[in-house]
Amino acid sequence: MDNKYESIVAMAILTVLILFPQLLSESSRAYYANILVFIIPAMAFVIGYVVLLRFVSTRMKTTLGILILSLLCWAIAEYLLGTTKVDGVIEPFTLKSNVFYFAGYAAILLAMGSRYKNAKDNLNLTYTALLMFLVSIAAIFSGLYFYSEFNSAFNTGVVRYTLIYLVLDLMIVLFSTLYFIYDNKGAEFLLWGWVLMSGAFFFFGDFFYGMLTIKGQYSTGSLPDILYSLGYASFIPAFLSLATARSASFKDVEERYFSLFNHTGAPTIMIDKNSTILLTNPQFNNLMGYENEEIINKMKWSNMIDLKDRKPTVLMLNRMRNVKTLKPFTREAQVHTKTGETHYTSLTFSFIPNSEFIVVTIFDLTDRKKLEVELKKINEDLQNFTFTVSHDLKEPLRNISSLATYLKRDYSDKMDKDGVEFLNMLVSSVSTMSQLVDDLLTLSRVGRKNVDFSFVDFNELINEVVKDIEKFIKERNAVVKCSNLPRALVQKTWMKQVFQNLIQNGIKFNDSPTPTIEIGYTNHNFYYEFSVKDNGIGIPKEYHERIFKLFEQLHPREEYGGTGAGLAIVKKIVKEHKGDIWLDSEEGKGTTIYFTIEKFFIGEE
Amino acid sequence: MTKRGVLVIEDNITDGLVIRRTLSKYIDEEINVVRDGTEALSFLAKVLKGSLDSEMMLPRLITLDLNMPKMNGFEFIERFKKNDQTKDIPIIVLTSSQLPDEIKRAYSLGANSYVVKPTDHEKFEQTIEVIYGYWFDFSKLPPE
Repeated sequence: MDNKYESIVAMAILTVLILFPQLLSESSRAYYANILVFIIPAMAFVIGYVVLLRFVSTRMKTTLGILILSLLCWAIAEYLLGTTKVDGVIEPFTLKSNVFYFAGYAAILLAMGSRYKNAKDNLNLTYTALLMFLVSIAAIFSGLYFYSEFNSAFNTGVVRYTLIYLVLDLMIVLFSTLYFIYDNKGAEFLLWGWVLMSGAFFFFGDFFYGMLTIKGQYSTGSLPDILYSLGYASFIPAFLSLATARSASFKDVEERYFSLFNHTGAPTIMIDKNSTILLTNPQFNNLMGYENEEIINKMKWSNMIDLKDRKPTVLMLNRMRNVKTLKPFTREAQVHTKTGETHYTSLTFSFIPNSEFIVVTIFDLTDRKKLEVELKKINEDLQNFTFTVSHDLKEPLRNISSLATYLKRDYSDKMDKDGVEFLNMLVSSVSTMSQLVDDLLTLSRVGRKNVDFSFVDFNELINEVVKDIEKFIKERNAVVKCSNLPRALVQKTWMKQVFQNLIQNGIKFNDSPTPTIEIGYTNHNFYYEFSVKDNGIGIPKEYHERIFKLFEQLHPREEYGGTGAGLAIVKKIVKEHKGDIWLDSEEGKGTTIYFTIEKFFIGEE
Repeated sequence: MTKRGVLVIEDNITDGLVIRRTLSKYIDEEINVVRDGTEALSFLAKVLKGSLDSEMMLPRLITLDLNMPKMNGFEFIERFKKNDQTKDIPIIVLTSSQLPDEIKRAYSLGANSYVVKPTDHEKFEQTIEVIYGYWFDFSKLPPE
């Protein structure tokens, strides 16, 4: 309802209220006038209430409920008053009717207060407040002007009651005025103009009622009654505009939130506990290819999730709900659109506190997934390539090795010293090369998912490793110590390779008379941290990262041998176990290599 | 028909040479090297028909590479093991491949042993010696 329409309605009601009591016959006028004065505004309020219900929030409904309550109070008060008057007995201030009047005032003040509080951010009340304050001062002064006439009749008691009313009216005006001054922001001029007018009407109504009663000139439907009618009538547009101002502002805020929801950029929906869709934004409809009418309150969100992802997602949701955690959780799932297209998505479920509603935000990962699949394929291709190439390289290498050996064996006597020496170098180069190829082959095999995860006792695993390289250990007079190690889910073959490489490195790069390797571990919540400590030559700090790179060697091959692939292989295996690897080293004192393996990791897919 | 010697089916000339050279240190029998499955089958067919000029006999043992041109090792095993006259001759697969699928397939087609060629010559020689030791010295081959 806009202000223009609202003013027209208010003026029409006002006209009826002023004219109607005058049209009635003298005898019935008093009775009906008093009833109608309330029934008509009450009906107007009720109609307004019904209309407003469509726009308003729950809190607003409470306010309007109080308003209707106040009108009911007034109607009952007037009824009691009216019936007394019709009987011909002038008893204007009965206790019963006054109780209802006060209740009505109290209720209306409460309603106005709460309405105003909610709406104040969107109102500007400064000028209105000032005007109201001036008018109330004027009312007091005009009362004082007639004070002499009051004074003479003060003892009749009627004046006392009248004064009570006057004070009450002033309280309404002052209370509202203080309210506005206190807040110093606020209303539409029109709105509080109406409130002000209504206050003034009541004020003068009471004033003249008192005056006329003292003089014995009061009759129903005369000036005070008309002023009362005007006062009540003024309330209607005041309240309607307050209510609509509020609902307009509320609508404004609501609209802002709604446009926020509609323009988040991410498909978003709200669902209830049964997964029924309550609200969707255009991005969601775009993604899924549905119209609002087809899905809202009709479709279940869970049915759009791919069958294999549905059950775990729903189970997870229920579990989260049951434990009453309000943490949002995210899951990747495939969803199917109306046309049957599949999208890879990341779904974030946020629980709305104190309700059964969940907001689901969807991120479309389809493009990323495609790239991921592509990348995975490229990676696999690369791995296959490495595998094939290193495999194919082996054969000619073996052939060279064979032929060189035969040459050396059968034709040494036909060659001079240099020739034999070159042949030796050839054989040695070939053997290095085949070692490199073997390492490359190992490295390319680590990535292949061809070794099963199983529970392995690490104590046994270390024993096996030590046995495998027994000769190597003995030759170098080395010692391998190990504390009590755990059982863990690993790829056994590869884990053996890790320890073998680390132990061999520790012994090989070691100048101590008794190279000593100590193997230990620390138990963490989600992973084990293993350490392999040696008393070897140590690694300078600047090489701590580099040594894990493929074919990276700190020392010349002639000195320590090896291909530089060992730690790269170790790192790759550790990564395959979702772990991490790092080291701690002091030159001349030794090195400790740490690596972790995830406890509950059992390989991918 | 009496059986003598070894048939080496190997497309890599040097590997064939090494196998023959190494084996001939131990056995004083004919060691024939052919380049692929087709050649091997036609050689065996000629022996069976007796159309070879010299007194060629069926081999007591066959070493077989898997990756060969024309007819690969698998196809050869399949054909060879279907022939009643040849099916009892042991086939030793001697190849660089160690893919689990290939190992499985070779055995399921009827290979009697699967040996992976080492990269290094010394080890390769040792491997061949072990094959000789096991099949000729240690095991009893089907009687001649």
